[in-house]
Amino acid sequence: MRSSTNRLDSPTPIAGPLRGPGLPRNPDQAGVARRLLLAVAPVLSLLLLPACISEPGVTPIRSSFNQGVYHFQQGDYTAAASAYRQALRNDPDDTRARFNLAVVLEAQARRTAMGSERLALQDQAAELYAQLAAENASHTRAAVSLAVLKHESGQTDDALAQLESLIDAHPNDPTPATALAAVLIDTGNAAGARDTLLDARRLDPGSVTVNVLLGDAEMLANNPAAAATAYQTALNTQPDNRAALLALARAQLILGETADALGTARRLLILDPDNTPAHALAADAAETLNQPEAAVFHLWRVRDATTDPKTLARINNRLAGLYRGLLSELR
Amino acid sequence: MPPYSRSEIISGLFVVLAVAVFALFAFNIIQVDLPFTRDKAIPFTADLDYAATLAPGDKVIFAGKEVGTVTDIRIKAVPDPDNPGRQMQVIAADFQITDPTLRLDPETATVSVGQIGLLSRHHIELDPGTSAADAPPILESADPSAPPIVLEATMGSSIDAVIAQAGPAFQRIANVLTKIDDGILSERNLDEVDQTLKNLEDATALATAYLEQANPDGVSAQVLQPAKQLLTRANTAIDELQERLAEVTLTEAETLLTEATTTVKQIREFAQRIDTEVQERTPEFRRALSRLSTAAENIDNQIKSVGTDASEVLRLSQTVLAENRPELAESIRRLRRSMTEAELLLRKVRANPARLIFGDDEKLFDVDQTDAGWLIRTGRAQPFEQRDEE
Repeated sequence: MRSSTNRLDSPTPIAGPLRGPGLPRNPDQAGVARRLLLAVAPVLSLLLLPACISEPGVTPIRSSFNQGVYHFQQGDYTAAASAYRQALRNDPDDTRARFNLAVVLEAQARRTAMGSERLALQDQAAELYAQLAAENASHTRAAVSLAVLKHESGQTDDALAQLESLIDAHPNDPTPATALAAVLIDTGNAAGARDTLLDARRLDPGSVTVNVLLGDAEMLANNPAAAATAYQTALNTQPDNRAALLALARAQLILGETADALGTARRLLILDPDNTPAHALAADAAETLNQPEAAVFHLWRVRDATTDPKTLARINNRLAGLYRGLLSELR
Repeated sequence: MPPYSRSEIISGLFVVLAVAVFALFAFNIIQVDLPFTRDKAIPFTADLDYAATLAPGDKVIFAGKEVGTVTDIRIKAVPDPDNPGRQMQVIAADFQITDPTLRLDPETATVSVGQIGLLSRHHIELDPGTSAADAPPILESADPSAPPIVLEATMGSSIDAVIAQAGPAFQRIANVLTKIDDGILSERNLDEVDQTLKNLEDATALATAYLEQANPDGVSAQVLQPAKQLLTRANTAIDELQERLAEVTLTEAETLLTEATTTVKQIREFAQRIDTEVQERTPEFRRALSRLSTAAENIDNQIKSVGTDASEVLRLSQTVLAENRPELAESIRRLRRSMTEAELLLRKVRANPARLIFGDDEKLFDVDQTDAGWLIRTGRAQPFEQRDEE
């Protein structure tokens, strides 16, 4: 049986069908190939043109709502608000766009240092939440955010009562329970928060929000090992969650798992190179691990972002100590 | 005479004609005027700061109409006005006006280096100034064989001009704002801010005018729209800053108030000055001013009340300043960021004009990453995710 490929011990190489002088190319075939190429080339060019013009490798987001979601995730709140407003112009009854716009307005308010502007944005957001909650009783998210606003304005008892009634009204929705737990953590009630979150986790075991808050509740209860487990569970669902990464690094540092803490902080710094708390954690971990160069590097990044004179003085002292150590090593 | 056939003569004439047409075409292409084709032209010259891409043959344009051509771009030595006895080099642009209807007053006419679009060549933009009602066209009133008429050059509207003017202003304001940010609100700094803001307003207006020349419907809008937004934001920030500075000038007023305690006249001047300078007064502040003015009516009582009133005004003015300090800082932060971004945008476009066609997908500096922890930790409901695209 003849093999289709050459063997190492084959006495003579087997020529392919087009190799050698025995098989001359048919001139008609060449002509047909040329004509075919000429016919296909314009069609191919037309097909390839849109691909060349559009941005390579990125699927365009067409709807204003989805553009808003994208811009919010990128942190471009101005563009996000503009996109959601456009979505509402297209469909004034789009309650999801209205809710997301309210969240964006709150995020903008957080970033705005100017008092009057910040208050105006917060008022707009609260009004949108209130409208949504009034128009649609089943809009749990708006009702939850309204309750949180109430807690932040000092009416914690009202907020707690409202959230508990929401939990009763929507027993299968973990959102009100999560908000209740956040308020309880804020008021120092770690045990209540933990119980509420464990109930919420039964409804949605993989919820990042629930697990991060559960970790916070455990940290508040001075139980860093359980907290680290909760944060790790959140990261199993969403490995890039920055809040969970930072919290896990902090818990690991407290547990004495310094090398792990440094690794977690560095994971976060890959995602967010300017994250000052992560640099601070990394500096602490590196100093503990006797890695003065790394500690100095991270401390400088913290120093760059610090404006408080007392903190600056503290960082300067630490830097001076680290540099002295490095100098003594050189000598 | 050798016997030439008719066909030989005709074909010879055709050849000669073709050579002549080709030669004329060639001379025209290389921008060489032949004596018998030359129009009447009046020569002009102007000293420029920056010639950009100007070259012989480029257009001289008045309000969009071509009225002449550039004949030469050369380096010229002129006396250095700041160092007597020394000389400096400038770029001189020689050009000629050929439009037979243009009226031009050499005393008031100015030229600048302009550019129709960011990708186009530069040209000389002519402002013919104002002439007398019965003034004849320049081609009739001037002698073509006389030495070139010297015109004054002004800052143009090309992107280089925008950068040349805006760049130092941005740098200067950044320095000044850093000082203000540090809390050094000295009178000298305030003067410097005031002057810089004036420069910056000019630069912003120039940049806006320049950017508006472009076709807003084209793909260039990808870059121009953000640029306009930046400039609008900068303008808003300038307005805010000026508003705050009107309040900050109360620091200067402290000195005036101290002096005003000696004479009633000075008190009145002070009150008047504060009244004009402070746009948004608190009711208490207004009352204090009112008391101060009333006190001025009675010389006997004034001297006694001056100390009390003055100290109250001082206290109030300090309160106004202290209350507005965060807002002033925010105005400064925004202005600084906008200016930096605006300058960067202009430089990026100059470095690579293709950005006008393909856009610029780099993020703005003020775009921060979402702080996911904020939503989680406050207990707020998460926003809805993307839907399926239809």
